Amino acid sequence: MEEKNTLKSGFGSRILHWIQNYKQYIIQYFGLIFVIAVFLYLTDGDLFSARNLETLIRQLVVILTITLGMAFIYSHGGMDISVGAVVALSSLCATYVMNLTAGQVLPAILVSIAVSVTCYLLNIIVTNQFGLMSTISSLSVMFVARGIVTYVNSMSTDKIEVHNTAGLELFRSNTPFLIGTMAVLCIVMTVLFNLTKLGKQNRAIGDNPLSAMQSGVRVKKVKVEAYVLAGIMVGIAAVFSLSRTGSVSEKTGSGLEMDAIVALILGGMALNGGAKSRISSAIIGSFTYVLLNNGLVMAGVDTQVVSLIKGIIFLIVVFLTIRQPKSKKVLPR
Amino acid sequence: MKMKKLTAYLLAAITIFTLTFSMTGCSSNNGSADSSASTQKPVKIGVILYNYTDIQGKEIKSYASYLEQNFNVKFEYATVGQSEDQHISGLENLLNKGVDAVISGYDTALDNSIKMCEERGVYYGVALGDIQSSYKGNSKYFVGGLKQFNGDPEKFGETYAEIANQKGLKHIGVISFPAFTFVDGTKIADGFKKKMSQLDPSAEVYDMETFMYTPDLAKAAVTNVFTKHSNVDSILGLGSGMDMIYPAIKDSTKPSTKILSLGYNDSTMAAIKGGSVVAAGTNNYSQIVANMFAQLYDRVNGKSYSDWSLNGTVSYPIVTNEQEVTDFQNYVIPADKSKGSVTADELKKVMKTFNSNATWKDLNILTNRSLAEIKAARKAL
Repeated sequence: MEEKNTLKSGFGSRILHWIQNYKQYIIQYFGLIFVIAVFLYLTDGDLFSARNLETLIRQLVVILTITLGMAFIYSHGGMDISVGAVVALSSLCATYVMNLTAGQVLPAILVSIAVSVTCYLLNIIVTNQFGLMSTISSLSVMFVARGIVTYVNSMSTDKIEVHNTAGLELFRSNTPFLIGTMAVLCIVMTVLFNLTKLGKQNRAIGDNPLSAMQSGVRVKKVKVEAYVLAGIMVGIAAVFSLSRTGSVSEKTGSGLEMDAIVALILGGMALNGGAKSRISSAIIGSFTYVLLNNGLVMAGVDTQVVSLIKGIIFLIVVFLTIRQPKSKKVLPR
Repeated sequence: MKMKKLTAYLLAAITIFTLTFSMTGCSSNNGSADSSASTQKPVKIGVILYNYTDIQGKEIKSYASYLEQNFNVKFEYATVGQSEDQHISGLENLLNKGVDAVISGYDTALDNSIKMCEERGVYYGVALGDIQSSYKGNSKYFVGGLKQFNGDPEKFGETYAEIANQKGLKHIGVISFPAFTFVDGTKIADGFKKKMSQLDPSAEVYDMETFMYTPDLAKAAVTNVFTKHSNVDSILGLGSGMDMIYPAIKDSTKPSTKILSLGYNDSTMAAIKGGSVVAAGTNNYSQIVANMFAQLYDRVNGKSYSDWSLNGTVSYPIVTNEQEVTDFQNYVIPADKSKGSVTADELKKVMKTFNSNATWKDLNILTNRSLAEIKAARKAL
């Protein structure tokens, strides 16, 4: 009997140990599979109808592009809440450029990226130079960017919209193009995150900035590079966002910062950054988030309780991911 | 201990599944149980609003439910945020649910919304606002918008001026949302100012203060009015008047200041009784849904009005005393919509699907009846 118990506890303990070790992967993939399974069942398979798949791809492209960039900021322990406002400002500038160039997309993309990178550079320079928390500096960037967009809108008698949207059609509704772009971005960012010095040093800073610095990592420079990368991605996302809406108002991009954070957390991103940060959190998390939003509506869930369900799921994931590790694998900060 | 944690995780997953499942209303009785309902597939109409928890959202949903009982129609709801992208996502999700038409509360991302609807052969209308003259499109899938404030904001402002004058108000501040977000607000204020100067040349109507949507900023706007004009005796509150400006006045250093307000909520009756609210008013939600529904239902059934134009008209009832508030509750927001502003029978008479002689003008006369006209119509029954 005793022997049996020992065997049993040994097996159970091994399973639990395995679960503990691979907790983040389990949350990541189990969350996605769970969401797919539940909504496939509730929608009688409509979740993956050709029409809805197209919609999912269109909805995914903006949030995925953003989270891929944000993963670099989160992995070094940073936090950004300005992304919605920066998307609005970049979209605004892209709109004006398109209207000035008779609907040319390329200059609009370049301007959008330039504006976004400038905002993120401002963000990290303030953080680096004045030792502010990244959240605070991103808050100030958010207010400045949102303020500019609101002011420009208030000065305009007409709606601010792209007059010739033909060039944006590719970004709005060409599904193969959207899939191709997402695939390329995912591959490039995965390589940068996992196989280059930039990605590795980012995670090292996330684990322990002091140790990273003493190991020869130029902490401030690496952070600047991470923010520039995030800026590029947000600039691209702004063009995708503009292609979906065709117009810019003072509300453009509002709530996007929270969407990005929630998607990353749903993907199992370690909130403190460090070695456990993975770029796959951005990819899986974005898929899960978009499927969750779409699935709740497709399944006919009462609109009054959509937020409640999202909130419960979010809380559970945070509860599972944020708990302090009992092992001593992570160095003291 | 560890097993307990594992069990807790599993239970959490099961809870989510159960909660989601239970909220979808999945049951064998999912279809309409109404024996009078047609055997034909119901027309599916999507509704897009910011929320369904305030009086506007609740009433729109309630009237839609009344329509479901009297027409072969089913409504699907989407809650959206205020940004364009959230609006488009909400619309996409509705389109994928197979709706035949969409009633959007707002003209957010209008061109792209119409474009998406065109691609799916779905009809689209804007319920809570008119379509500006700058709109250049001519899609056959777009049924246009609705003019609020009885179709004439300036005249509506004049009505408020008459009420203010009757109450002897002399020093009036004006608070609204910024002009670029609430174009009609400026027109109402202009009409109010003009009429006040005619009715009482000694009265002063001060320059408009604006705020952006939040209660804190409404408080700041009220404080600004009091700081700049110490003799203010009343405020014309145009942006969320009852929900934001009225509470801000009550919390201010001059809580006895009266308000002429846009908006209606549960505190309106008490506030009018107490004299702190001189006038309140709000959209007639049933008329709004009725107008949009009639047009969309007809279009889905291949009918349209020959005299149609881009913007319809709905009324905006104003209440100034307890009797009018009671009438408002009985005829504009009654629980039983068959005793409300637009009954199913009245609506059928002005819809092409049910009456080939119906005209768009008839529809708009029906959905622009004043509170007194609605009351008279109900009493005549």
